[in-house]
Amino acid sequence: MFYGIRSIFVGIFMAACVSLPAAALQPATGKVVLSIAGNVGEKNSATAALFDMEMLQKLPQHSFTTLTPWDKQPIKFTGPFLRDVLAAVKASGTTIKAMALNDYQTSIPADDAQKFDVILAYKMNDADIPVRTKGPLFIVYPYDTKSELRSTVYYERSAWQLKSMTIE
Amino acid sequence: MAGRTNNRRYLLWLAVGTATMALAMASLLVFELAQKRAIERSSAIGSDSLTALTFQFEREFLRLRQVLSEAVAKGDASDMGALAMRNDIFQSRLTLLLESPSVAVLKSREEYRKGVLDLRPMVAELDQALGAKFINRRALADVLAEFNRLGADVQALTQAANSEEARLLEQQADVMGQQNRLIVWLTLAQLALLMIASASLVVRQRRQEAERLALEQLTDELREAQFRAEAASRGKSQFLANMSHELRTPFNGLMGMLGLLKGTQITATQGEYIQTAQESAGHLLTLLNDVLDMSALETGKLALKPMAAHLPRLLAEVNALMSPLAKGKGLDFHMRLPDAPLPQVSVDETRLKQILFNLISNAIKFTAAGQVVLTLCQRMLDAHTLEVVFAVRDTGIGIEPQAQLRLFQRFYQVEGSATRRFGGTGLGLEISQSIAQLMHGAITVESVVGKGSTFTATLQLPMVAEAQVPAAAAAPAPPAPPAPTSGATQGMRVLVVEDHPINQKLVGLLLARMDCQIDFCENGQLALERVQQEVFHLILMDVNMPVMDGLTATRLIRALPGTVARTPIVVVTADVMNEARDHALLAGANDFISKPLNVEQLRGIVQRYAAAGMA
Repeated sequence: MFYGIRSIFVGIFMAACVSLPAAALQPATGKVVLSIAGNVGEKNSATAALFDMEMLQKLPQHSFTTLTPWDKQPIKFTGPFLRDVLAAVKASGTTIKAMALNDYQTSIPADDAQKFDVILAYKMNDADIPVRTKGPLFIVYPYDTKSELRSTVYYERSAWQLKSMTIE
Repeated sequence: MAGRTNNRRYLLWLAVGTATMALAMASLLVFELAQKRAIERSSAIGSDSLTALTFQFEREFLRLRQVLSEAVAKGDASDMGALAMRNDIFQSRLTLLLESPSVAVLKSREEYRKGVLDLRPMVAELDQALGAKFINRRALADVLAEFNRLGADVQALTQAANSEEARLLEQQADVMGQQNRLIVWLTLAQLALLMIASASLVVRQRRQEAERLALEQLTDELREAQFRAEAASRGKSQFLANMSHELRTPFNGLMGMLGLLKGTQITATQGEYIQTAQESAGHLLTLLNDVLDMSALETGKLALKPMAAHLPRLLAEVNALMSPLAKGKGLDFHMRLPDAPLPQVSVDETRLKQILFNLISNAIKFTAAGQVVLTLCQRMLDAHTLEVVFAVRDTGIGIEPQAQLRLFQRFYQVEGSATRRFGGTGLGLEISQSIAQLMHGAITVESVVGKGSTFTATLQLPMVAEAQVPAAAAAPAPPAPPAPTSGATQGMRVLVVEDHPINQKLVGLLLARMDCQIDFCENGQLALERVQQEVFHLILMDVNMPVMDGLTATRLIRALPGTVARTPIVVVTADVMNEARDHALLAGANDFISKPLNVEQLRGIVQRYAAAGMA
């Protein structure tokens, strides 16, 4: 647990140095797609850090293709790493509570974002994700890279139609 | 044979058992792999449970219907955004139900058709209504009515999913149960096989143990039998040794007396009779010696005593003895020696002479007219070994090929009539062959009936350096000083220790001729007492005597204090087995002579010690 916290700090520090030389979080100008509340150091509203699509797209982008239990074909997912998003808001905590549009809730250990290249995907097969197909945001683990990720534990943490996160 | 069949059957059973076990284990492995794969598949596909999917679907259906109901009641355009969101979320659930692989099992059911497929037109209608520029309350109301009508079907779908999942679980449990039962049965079968296998191993082990014990017992019995046989053989040899002694003692007297008788005043006829008696006695002695050699060979007690020897001298001796025999029968006997000088070799002269005497006397015996020739060849085998070939060729009666094969067998003589005609023990050739083998050689025969035979003795003899043979080696040790005058022995005090009266008389007569002063003792004990009272120049000691034997007496005399312990002792015995000489020398005797006593031998001995003792 202690190690987890420290590694998050290290992660934040690294992100601050490399990815985001300008630390201050700009206010969201477009339609808000994600709000991060709880233990966050950067907020651009009274209660939370709010993101529009443009802000997410400004973070370093990553892609991988993986098979998921919800489709027969492998799918290419694109978006920033979850750890970069957390670094952008200077999140500090051990657990991420993710909430979806349909009130689905799941708890993700903050460690996961460091241990795995978890992506906050907003594109599937290079297309925006509508709400009807699990959009607009989708927490995706690289299931194909490690066998331990192909289990119910990680499938349950993969929240789609993501609306908000709370850092605890 | 039965054991081999048993073993084959056992191996067959072992193979069958092992194959069965392997088969059972392989089946177990296949089942377990199948189970593992099934579990993996269900975990890959069934990550989203059917009930969760349908429950979420029903929930979103109800929420959409609620929002739709409110929108129809209010007719307010501000609610349209929320309605569209709910519609999107609902449709994402609908898509999952249409496309998720987990739903496959549900698709065949009636509830799926009614609750999912029939819903699609209404959703399309709703999309159309929401997509319109102006809100069409009527259209929304229609959709709401349809939604209300389908509410029961959507709920039925959840229940259907529930029962389907329960059925799947049951089925899975059934399959697992079946497989588990099968695994249990296979394991039990393996256990049974294992028990049978160990039981049969135990049985086999017991049987082998019993067989081993039986074998051990048989071995013990055989060893016992062999021991008994060896003991019997030893008894026989001992009997022969005893007999030899017993036979030689009277023989000594007989031959000695014949020799003395010959020196007395007799007529020519009497001389002829005595001559015949001496020849018969000589022949009897040869036979006796053959029997003794045979028994020594049989018990492995005949050991060679090789010494440096001069072959030409040895051959001259042989010639001297054999020529008169041949001349007596009117045969020509001569020797052919190689031109090259014969080197010195190490050989037991007595035994080599025995072989040559045997072969040559046989040749003379079986040749009526013609010649007997001894040819000698030599060949260097290596730097230290000389191969010497003695070939004795005669122009005699010859031997049939069949008979040649059995020639060296014990007691074999060529045809029965020959026994009568020529005499002999039938042991001579076997003894010669055995001695030749002891000399790393062999005797072979070639013969043509009516033309003659050639017996060839091929021997491998180690060579000795010239220097090792003394220049005066013309005579074998001990060197006898050539002083055949009786003067040297005159007045010499000789103690004769001998229990047999005839032998006492004979030795007495022989020594008297040498002008010795003779005293007699009847056993070793008396001799031991006598030598401590008087001084003797020589003691002639018999071996087998009552009270104390000669060897013990010799040992005790040697242990006495003072000069008496150095009195020369010559052991005289009828026991001619090899060990007799060793025993005598070991006991401390200076020399050894065997009975029957040879006048010249006795004279040589007495003269030697006379020269040493009285000087």
